[in-house]
Amino acid sequence: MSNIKDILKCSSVFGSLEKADIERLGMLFEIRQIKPGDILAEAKEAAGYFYLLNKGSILLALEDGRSIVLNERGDFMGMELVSAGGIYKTTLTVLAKGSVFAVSRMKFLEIIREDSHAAASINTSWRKYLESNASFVKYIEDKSLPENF
Amino acid sequence: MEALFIEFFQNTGFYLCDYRYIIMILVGLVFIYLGIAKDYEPLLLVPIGFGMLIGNIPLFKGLGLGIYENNSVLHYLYFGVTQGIYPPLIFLGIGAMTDFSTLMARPVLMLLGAAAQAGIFITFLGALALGFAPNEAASIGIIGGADGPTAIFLTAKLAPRLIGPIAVAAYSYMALVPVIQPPIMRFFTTRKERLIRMEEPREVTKKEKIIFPILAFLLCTFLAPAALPLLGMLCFGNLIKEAVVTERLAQTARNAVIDTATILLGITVGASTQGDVFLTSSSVGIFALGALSFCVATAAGVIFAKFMNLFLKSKINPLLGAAGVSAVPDSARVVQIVGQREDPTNFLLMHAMAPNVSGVIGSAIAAGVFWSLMA
Amino acid sequence: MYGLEAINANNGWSISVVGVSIVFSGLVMLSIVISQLYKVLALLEDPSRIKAFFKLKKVRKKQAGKGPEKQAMDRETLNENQKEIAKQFDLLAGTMQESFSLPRLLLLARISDLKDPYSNLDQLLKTKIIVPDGSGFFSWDKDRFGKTIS
Repeated sequence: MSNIKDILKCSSVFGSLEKADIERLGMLFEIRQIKPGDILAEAKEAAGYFYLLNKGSILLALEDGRSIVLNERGDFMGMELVSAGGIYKTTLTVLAKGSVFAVSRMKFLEIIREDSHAAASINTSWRKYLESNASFVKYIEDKSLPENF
Repeated sequence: MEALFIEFFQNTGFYLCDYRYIIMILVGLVFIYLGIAKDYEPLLLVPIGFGMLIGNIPLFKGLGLGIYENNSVLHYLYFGVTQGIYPPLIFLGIGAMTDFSTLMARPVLMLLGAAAQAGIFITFLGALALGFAPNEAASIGIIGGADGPTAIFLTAKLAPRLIGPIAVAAYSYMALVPVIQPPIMRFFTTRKERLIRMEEPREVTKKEKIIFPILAFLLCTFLAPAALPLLGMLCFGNLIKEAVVTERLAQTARNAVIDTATILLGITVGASTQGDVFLTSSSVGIFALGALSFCVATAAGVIFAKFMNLFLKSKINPLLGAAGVSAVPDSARVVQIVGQREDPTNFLLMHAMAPNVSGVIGSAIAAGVFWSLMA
Repeated sequence: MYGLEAINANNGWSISVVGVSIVFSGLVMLSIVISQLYKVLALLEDPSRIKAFFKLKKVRKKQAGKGPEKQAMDRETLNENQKEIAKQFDLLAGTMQESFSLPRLLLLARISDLKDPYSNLDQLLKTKIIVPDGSGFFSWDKDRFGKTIS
């Protein structure tokens, strides 16, 4: 399975979206093949993309030595988990080969800042996802400010 | 003083006018009406329609105003048409705005784009049978490609005197895609066939998208070198779109360049339809053959799709064959509309874009073949 | 001249057949090349897939004799090479605190020139020899390590 819509559907962050929202969101993603050792994002560099895991395993290393490993299809590497103020705060290193779907940070933020049901649904699911996968990362309530991510 | 008034009056359009100019002005007004009120290809029909008004103001010869007078401004602008300059510029813009990913995801659909080009060659035979010279017959046949720039490009090379009627026929039929195609599509398909759902296409990587225009250009132009000006610009336009690092160039190509070329081409092609040179029996023949060409192309695409279904495990909706004519994206939209009339939840547009854009490549190759065989 | 006579005289049939054939050949050629392009790109990106393909054939032959339970266990166990590298990781983890930083362990593995540090680290996570403590740090499960390499 490497269809973006299927992956969005099985993702705990995006799975609750309506079909039309999934279609719209899916248009923003672009597949990238990954192999062990690849660096998808480097802390302190400009944050251009967020990533959705299709296959493989990725180590997300924060600057204070903490980290998490994401290896489930549909795991999302975005927002406060990876960036702040347009700068990556996490280094994303590939441990096992596979593929991810990259989405432009700006385009993604535009969507979640909309006053829409889809944006609210993503934010709610994201909060739960963050709590269960990386509870040590502080959830940011106000998603309207660009410096937040 | 009376003599001066009479002389002035004799130079006015009211005095010089005859019924042919009036007819062409009415046709121009119809084009403008269809473009603005009916939204039929407005970006083409409005400039062509207004060009018809410009070209059919009766003038006395020697004033240096008419498009066919050597030193007129219109004549200089028309140079871009007669020398085949505008069509490749339009192709550059088309390349910079076309997404070939559905075609890459299911390359077999490319064959539908090839099948629809059969209309071109059948009409070529028809035109020969009606007494047109081979170079004129080829220019008339290419109308079936439903690709205005290609038709103009080939006609400029092979039969420049027919540019006016051929361009007007090609663009008129392109604008009338939503009217011409649906009855043919329904005639050749059963309801069950129209209900076929297409498989989700696979995701196409950025690398593939970047390599595609280079590969397509090399393969097609090695096979048909005469397609070079059109395919070269089409593929280059697509490369600068997909390369991302050249986004600024792509933006210019898909906005400023294509818009400028379309305006100049539309106005001058419209202006070339001067009543006294346009309204001839051969123009009527061209219009009739153009319509035939379009219908045959649509039917050929649909029938070939049914033929492919005899061998394919995962069946394709035969309506997609109609998108093989290269009127991008109108014929793909028509496929979507006809498909949704049977099943509103069936989305065929994305799939129809594959034969649609391969039709563009196919008609450019066909033009190249004609050019190399006739020149 | 009109009709069939005009078509014959102007070589119309041959021109049409040649034209249709060239358009078809061009697009067929292009569609064949494009349909294989993504496979070629995948191979170029990861040449080990060719080796893996042949290895997979051997493994499939071997596994044909095993039951599904045994096959499932295989995925969570380590082969001999991986066991050796796991021992080296164990030594590195021993130099760190009980609750350690995973990126730091990876860095040490890379500095120590361990083979395939990324995929081997991933294997240790999958076999649950390295486990997260929930606060962003990880620990080394000695019991599981002992059982796995024995």
